[in-house]
Amino acid sequence: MAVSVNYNLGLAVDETQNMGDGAGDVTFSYSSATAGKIDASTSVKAEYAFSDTFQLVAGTYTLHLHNMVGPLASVVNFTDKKVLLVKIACPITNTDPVLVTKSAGTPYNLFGEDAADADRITVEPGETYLAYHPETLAVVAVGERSVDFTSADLTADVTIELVAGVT
Amino acid sequence: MSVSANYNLGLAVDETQNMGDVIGNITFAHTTVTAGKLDASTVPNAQLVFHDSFNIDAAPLAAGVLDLTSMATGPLGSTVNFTGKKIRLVKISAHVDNTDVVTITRKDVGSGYNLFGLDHTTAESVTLSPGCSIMAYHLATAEVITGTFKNVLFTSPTDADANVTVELVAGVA
Repeated sequence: MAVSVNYNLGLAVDETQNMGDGAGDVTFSYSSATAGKIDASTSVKAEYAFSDTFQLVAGTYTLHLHNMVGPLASVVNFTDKKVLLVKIACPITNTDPVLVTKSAGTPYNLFGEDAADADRITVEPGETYLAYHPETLAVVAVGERSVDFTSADLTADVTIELVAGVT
Repeated sequence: MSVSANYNLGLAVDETQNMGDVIGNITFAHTTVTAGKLDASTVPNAQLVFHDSFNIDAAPLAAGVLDLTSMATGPLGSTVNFTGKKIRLVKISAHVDNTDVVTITRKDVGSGYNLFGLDHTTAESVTLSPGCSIMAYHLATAEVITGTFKNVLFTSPTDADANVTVELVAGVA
């Protein structure tokens, strides 16, 4: 199996200010590109991918990073890999935010250094998050492999894309 | 003043699996596109922008706090004030030369602004290791910045002068 990943966290802003009659409009540009391609040959090595749109059941869902369903009903198992890229989005039709956090039992922190940290995000209807972690998250392991999604919207939808690899 | 913001949270993955001698390789695509342009005419709209790279022990922070109502280093030394606006786009990157992680969260429940959640009442946070980036698109749901709820806290366990780059776009619905 081979994985080729193109990522782009792009934000380019033009701010135009009127400097008075003499100078007229002046545009200030701000741009930061965090983009690239990773695969098996790059230093940040992409080896596995997972994507899915799932619905919470009774307001909760636990994603186990060692046991996810891939193409043709295959099992995607990130054990011994690190999550490198995370994208999470919720549709505008959700009626409440979705909290994304490490699970209590076998916690994996998608937004921080390791399970000892309490990082978490809330994804409101219509929102999207994309994070690039070049080799810095924890290794997925038996005791560190589960992510919880919870919401007051008992049937909230979540779309997730994950890329994992090793250093 | 007018602002035009092009955003792209793009993640496109091709996964190629070998299905055996008869079928050969099959490529499965995992691709989601979240991209667009915000300006004064869009919903949500974009009205103000703040962009800066700084050490977390120096201006525009004070004691690690970014005050969204008083951000120095706007164009020509101006101060950027997001009062009455909502954050629409957030991008934060930790410099690869940092020696420790940087955690970003609201300052506290009494004065904090939550860049990663519904409002100041909850304590969402992200921790960026050196070289890491996070970007978020908030449709129309973030909290309004006020004179009370305005403070974002940047901390690092051991890298007191860790460097971050922050881009924020704000507007009203």
